[in-house]
Amino acid sequence: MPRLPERVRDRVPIGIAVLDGYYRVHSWNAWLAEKTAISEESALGKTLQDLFPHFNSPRLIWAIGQVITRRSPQVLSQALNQFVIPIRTAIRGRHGTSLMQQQAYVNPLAGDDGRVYAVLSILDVTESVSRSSALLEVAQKLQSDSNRDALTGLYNRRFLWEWLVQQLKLCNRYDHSLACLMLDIDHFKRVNDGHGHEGGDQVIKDFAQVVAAQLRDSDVLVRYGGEEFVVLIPHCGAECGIASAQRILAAVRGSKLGPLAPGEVTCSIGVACWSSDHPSTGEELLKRADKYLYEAKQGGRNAVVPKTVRAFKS
Amino acid sequence: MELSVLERNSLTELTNIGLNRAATQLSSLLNDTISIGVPKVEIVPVEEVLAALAMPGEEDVACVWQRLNGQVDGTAMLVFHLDGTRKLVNALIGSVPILAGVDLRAYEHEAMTEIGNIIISSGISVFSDLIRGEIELSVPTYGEHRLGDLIAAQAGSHEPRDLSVIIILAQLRASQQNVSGCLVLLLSVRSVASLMQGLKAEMQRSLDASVA
Repeated sequence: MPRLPERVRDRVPIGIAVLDGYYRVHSWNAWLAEKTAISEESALGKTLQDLFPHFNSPRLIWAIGQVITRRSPQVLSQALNQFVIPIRTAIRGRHGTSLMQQQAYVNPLAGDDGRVYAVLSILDVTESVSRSSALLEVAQKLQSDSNRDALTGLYNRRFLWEWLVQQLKLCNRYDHSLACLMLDIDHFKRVNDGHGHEGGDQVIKDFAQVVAAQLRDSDVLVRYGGEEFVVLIPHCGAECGIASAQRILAAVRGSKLGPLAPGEVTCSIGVACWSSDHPSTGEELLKRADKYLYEAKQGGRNAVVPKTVRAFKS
Repeated sequence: MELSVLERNSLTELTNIGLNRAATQLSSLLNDTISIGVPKVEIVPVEEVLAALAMPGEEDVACVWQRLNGQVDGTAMLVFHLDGTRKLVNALIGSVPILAGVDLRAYEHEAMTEIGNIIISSGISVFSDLIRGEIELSVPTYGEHRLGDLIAAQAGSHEPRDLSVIIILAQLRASQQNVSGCLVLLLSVRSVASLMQGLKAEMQRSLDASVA
């Protein structure tokens, strides 16, 4: 059995165990004894399975086998394993776990008896994992916030451009269509003038909810700015785009929005469509929808333009 | 070094066995079906590595490497395009955003080190069997460097004529994502000769067994 100088072995701030090819413990340092509450005398000669009845790590078993039969050192990351042996820790993990997160190494060690042993070194990385998880959550929240409109919680213009670029690549590759609806609340200035900005904000929030209720989960609703919104509907051609716009128009007209009764708020919608027959950039697509929206406004509002697929094609 | 068709087929079959062992381990570790396609094997002089890999030498790549000692000496390097590494890690453990300069990608590096360690160990174990001897490996290291610099650093002070390179190109498939990578074994000419001798002996044993 190999002997590690005890003064070194028991002073290092990491766990060190020496195991044989049958996974039996030949050495168990003070750090492990303290953290697992298993003394070295109790651990010697026992297998990891004896010491930890719920121990189940095929990866560690394979790693020990590689080290002993091949002398091939193995690294077991926290990212892929979380831990190699279950050790309770005082720090409660952010996801409800109280098991120590570990980074482990298994290295070969030639014994005085001519046999090869596996030295298992365990580093406690629980604190740095907790810190990384906290940072990750903040990063994900920031990323999500930067893509959202604060008033309505809808996606914002920044997200629209990122999403549209990727989506048009997919449309191009798989020959899918995409409908783009540009919506504007009619006479919104009058709402603000009559009911103040608070009333106006409430109308915008309710409008967003009414429109969202008409869409599938895979559709994207964006607050483009002020009282202007964009709806993007994947796998949807001109006919489907016009039908969706008509449905939204009717739903808005029939809903109570903020302080205003059903019928008091209407909107105008311009519809453009991307297809492989008429490919365009994202900017061109939005520009076309905006042009139709302008026509709807000029034509008296509370309308969808183009009205029919034939008009769309012409 | 030119490989005969028979030698190339035998070497391909052996490395395929090693990589399949790695795929089995990775599948069990990651609870996912990981497969590694049939590799393409070549032996080239060190000056021709970049051309054989079809990777620009000035582009950063992700690499896990382990030094080899014993009857075979040199370096085993598992090389992926950076995009491929991110795609692979994202598919396996989720995406990792970068926050205000705080690089959380250490998490990715750790995972890649272990994945590389498993693939290299499994690949090299086939070569130890071939020479019926021991090949000692160092602890794995992860780095993102220009491929040309990496090869130059690993070649160290050796003269190019003293080195030979075994290139094993394969495609790893995880979570419906295909990631191409290559195992580059930068070895002394003596080591390659020893491996080829082992390969020939193995081929002869197979032939004798089939005749018997």
